Amino acid sequence: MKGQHKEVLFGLYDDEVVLMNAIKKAKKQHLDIMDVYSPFPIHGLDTVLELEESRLHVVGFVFGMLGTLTALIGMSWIFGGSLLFEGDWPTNFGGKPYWSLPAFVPIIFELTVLFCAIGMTVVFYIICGLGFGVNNPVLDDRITDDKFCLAFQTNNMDSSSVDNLKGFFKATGAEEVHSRTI
Amino acid sequence: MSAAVSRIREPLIFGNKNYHQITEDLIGPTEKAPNRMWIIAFTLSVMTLGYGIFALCWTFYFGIGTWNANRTIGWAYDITNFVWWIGIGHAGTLISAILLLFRQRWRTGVNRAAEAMTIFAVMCAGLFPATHTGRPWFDFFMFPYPNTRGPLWVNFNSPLLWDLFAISTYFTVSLLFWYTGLVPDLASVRDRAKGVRKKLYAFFSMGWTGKAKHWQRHEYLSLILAGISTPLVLSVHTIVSFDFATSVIPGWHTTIFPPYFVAGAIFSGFAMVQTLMIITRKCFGLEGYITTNHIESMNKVILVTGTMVGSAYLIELFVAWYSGYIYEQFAFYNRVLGPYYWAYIGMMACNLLSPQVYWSKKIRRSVWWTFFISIFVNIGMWFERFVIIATTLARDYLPSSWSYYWPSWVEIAIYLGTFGLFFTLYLVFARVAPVVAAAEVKAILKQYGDQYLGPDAKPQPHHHHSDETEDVESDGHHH
Amino acid sequence: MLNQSDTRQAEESLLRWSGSQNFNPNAEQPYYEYLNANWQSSMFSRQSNFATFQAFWDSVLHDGVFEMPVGAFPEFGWGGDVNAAAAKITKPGTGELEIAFFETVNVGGGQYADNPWLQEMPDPITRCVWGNYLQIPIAFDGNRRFDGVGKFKGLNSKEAYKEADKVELTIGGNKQVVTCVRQFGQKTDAVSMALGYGRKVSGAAGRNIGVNVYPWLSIDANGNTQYFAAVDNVSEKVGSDEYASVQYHHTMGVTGKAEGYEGKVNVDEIALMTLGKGFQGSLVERSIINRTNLSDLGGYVKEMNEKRGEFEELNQKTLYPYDQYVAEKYSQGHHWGLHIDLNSCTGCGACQVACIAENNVPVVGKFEVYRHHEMTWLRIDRYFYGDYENPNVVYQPMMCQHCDNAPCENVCPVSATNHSSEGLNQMAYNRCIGTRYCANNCPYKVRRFNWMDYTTADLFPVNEHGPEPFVPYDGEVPFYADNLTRMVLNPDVTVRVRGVMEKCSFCVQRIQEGKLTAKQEGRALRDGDVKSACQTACPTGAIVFGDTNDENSEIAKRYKNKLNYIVLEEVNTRPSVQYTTRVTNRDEALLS
Repeated sequence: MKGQHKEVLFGLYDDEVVLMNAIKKAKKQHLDIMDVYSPFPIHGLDTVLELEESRLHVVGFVFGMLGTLTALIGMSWIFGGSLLFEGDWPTNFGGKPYWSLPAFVPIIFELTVLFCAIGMTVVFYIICGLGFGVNNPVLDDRITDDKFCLAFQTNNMDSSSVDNLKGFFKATGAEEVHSRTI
Repeated sequence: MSAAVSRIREPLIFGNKNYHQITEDLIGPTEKAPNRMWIIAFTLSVMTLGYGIFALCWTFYFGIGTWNANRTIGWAYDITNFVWWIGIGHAGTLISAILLLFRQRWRTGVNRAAEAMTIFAVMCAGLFPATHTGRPWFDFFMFPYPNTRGPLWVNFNSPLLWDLFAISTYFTVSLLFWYTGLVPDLASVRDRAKGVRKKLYAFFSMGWTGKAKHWQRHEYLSLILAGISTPLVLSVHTIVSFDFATSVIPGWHTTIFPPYFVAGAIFSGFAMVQTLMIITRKCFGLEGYITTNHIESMNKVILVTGTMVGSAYLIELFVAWYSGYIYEQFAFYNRVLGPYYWAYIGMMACNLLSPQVYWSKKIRRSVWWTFFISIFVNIGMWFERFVIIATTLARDYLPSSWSYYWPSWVEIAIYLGTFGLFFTLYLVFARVAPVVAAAEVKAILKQYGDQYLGPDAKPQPHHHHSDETEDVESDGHHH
Repeated sequence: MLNQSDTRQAEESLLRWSGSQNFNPNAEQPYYEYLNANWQSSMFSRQSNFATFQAFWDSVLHDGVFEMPVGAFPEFGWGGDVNAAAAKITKPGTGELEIAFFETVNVGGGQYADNPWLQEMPDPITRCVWGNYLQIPIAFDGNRRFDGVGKFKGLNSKEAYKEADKVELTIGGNKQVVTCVRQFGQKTDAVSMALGYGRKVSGAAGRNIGVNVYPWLSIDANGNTQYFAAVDNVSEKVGSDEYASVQYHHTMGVTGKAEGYEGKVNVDEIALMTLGKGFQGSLVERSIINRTNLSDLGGYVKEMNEKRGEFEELNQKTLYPYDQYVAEKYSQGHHWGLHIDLNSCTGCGACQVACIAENNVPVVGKFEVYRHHEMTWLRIDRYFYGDYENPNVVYQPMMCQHCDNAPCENVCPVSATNHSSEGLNQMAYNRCIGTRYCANNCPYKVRRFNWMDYTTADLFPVNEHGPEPFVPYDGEVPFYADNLTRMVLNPDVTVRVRGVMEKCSFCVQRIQEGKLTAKQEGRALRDGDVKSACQTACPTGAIVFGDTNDENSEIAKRYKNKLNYIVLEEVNTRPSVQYTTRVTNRDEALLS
């Protein structure tokens, strides 16, 4: 992102169906799409763009397991395992056994959920390159309003390819076509 | 587009809107100066909050003795209000998470504000466990951190400790879920703003641009967060109910509490959402987004959960008799006939009886009825917690210890202060962020806009495309 | 002279002042010589074992006692007039309503009014504190309600809501405003009130507490004070007062006649169906006070054993490893326990005061007791049962039961309370953050919370300065913070600050002291080495404390009593306190 100057040619569409058709056409023509921007998530877009499935669920699972183990091992280490092993400070609370799994369950569950949620969310922001104060270049202010954007990177393209792309935009029904450097 | 939408469904967006109009309607209010109603409401809220803070300082300085809790009734207003606020908070997560998993698209009209309400309600609730302790400056003892006193750890058997983990988790997850959903809308505000506002919103919108890959991950994240928030919603109030269910006091020691509390939480939460949404839609002119259909759907949930709660009351009475255990039997004689019988009647009337009016479709769809019943429901739920806590503690095993409780001005002031806090935060939220999830509403426009669905649907011109999985109704090309 | 620096024996002072003839102030040991001379003249002649006085004297000093030979008793006769004497016995008053005056165990005739411990000790009968209250009779209306009779109807109807009524009482022309309290067992044509209150001249605790009833007392022709009087008038309610009573519910099953029922019925359970203000209505078959009459004893024991067998069977169905704890901890070493004989307990309250004295329990005053913020670790519950007009009374000292399956320990989030291997429920004051969950979960309600700063223990400048006296910046030393008042504190026991929970500790400081003494002496702990404060103070020996693992101890013997039971045994808390069934020996007719 820093230091890389991208020259971008993008088209703005008014409707997501039109955009989807444009993308399908672009794929048929083997055009190299840089990115697609939209004001809301469009169903079926990932399939059409052939985006890889996200593996956030794996992240969630790993963090969740971390939470479970932290809770379980932590409490077991502190309270001890009754007959099995001596804990850090086994205490007789109301005649309960030192290691009392039923009592540990709520905390185990909560820490699983907590770790999973925090882990996944933080990883999400990191891999998307988002964060407080991050300023990603915005192609057009109306993308978050009502425009759908299909962008091609034209850094090393010759003018005929660029014209080709412009023609593509016209043919697929883009309302506007612009180029910018970001 | 996704699978076909049944023609029986009612539209969720009225007014023949397009995407830009949605942006204008929902983002627009954050750009205007606050009107007089807002200023008056805000002033009142802040004053009430100030009164509450004063009462809290009074409590810290003089001691919990300024409250009227006593040797028999150790918890009264403090924990009643705590459970009440936490219960209210559950609606937001349910709307965001469970309704997402059930693909109820109407959630998009109310989920943003409801989640915000959850966060503020949990903040108000969290105030009580923190301040009801005799030595609140030592509250950090509840955290299991390594220390030089042994190290001395906490008691993991204690339901209060489970509460600590549950509520912190609940607050954190709700906040993350809410904020993650808010980011695209903040980006919308940013892109329409200028100057300092633009810089501020740029900071908070985290550089969101609307990339397809980001949306993909965003959807994924929302789905998984919804998936884990669902058991979280159920578990948090279950754990709060364990404060009572795991004790030995008759009237508390009952396995009905976890489902009963969760149903009650959803019940009161939805009622609070109704109250807030009816006011909000009026003030911001959002009747096209928070429609009668939304209100009706929420009323159905209120009816179901209210009936569940009411039948739980009746089952409790039956089981007390059937058990033959005299302490349990007396606990219910005490609730119905004892010195707090008026609270029990209030509870029954407001919780079991009043939502029954929602069997009538006309009443379900009436904004006025909804507004008043929702307030009654919350009052009834407050009485329920009061009955469970104060009435039960007042007369338990040993008759020599029986006592009576009535709140002191300090406790009432703190409770009012939480209202002040809640409304202050909500009013600020309504000012700075869109109260309806704009991006999500846009995503359902094609399926649920009134120009596509329902009695006002216009025939849409077919748009040429080669894909078979095309939605029959929502193709079209607009200006 | 043996005197040093201008002192002398007290006896010498008395003899000098009385101008005793036999006293020689100039002798070398004046009192000794006086004593010696006295014995020589009066005692020496009465014995025949010793020939010389010196031998007798030495022997008496050695023994420390001189038993005089007993002579024959003369015949007695009495020449008085029985009838005349009988006529002097005070007759009941002639008016409609009579008032009786009596001394309480708290302040007696008034001499203990300045003792805040005694003022705060609830009167055993009325269970009220800091004042004397007009005890008014109540009756069951035959329908559902207990209420005052006649003039007293409707008075103190809000006792359960912490409110007492004030009336203006006129006796012999003197009017005073008094606060009422409803009293079971009070005859319907009489009221009563305690002496000893209303002092104007007293220390800080005793001044202006209660009503001075002495103006209502009269003196008869023979110069005897009449502790009763005819009541001229009891007015309507003239005001409200704080109902400073620690017990609101008094009955454990009283019987009476009710409409629609034959004979006498349990009116407690009938009164249960009164909406809202039911005074004394409850389900009474609680396992709190086990009671029987001597005539029913055999059958009762059988029934009790069956019941306890049932409880034990239920209690065995538990996930708690109680048997394991017993095997590993409780049966090893000491296991402290308490035994209370309900038949010996007279409700005098000495144990309660001893506990306060021993354990630095703060006195909180009338207003706080009215709010049920009293701090006493040990309380004596007083229940009425039997015919409500002539009830039986039972006193039950109730303190922390040190349950082996303590509900309180389980719920403390910060581990401030836990169970020791010797069976004690321990309380760590410095860890407690005051959530009060433990007190809520205690079925016996024996835990006490420091609602406000009752002890000034929070005043760090006071606690941290050196031996020089505390000088406050604004000139006034808070009560309890001055060095003299603090001498009432027991240095072996922590003084608790605001916001922490406390309760009976089985006098753990005495336990530790006993163990330490035994250890230092290199021997095992013996029964009697450790006595709790309540045990030491009990005049009837109703309370016994000790090591239940020691077969030779008093408590182990008491634990074998077949009439023992455990309060709320079915809750499976496994307390370390056992009570003996109350067995009365009353005529059948008086029982029901």
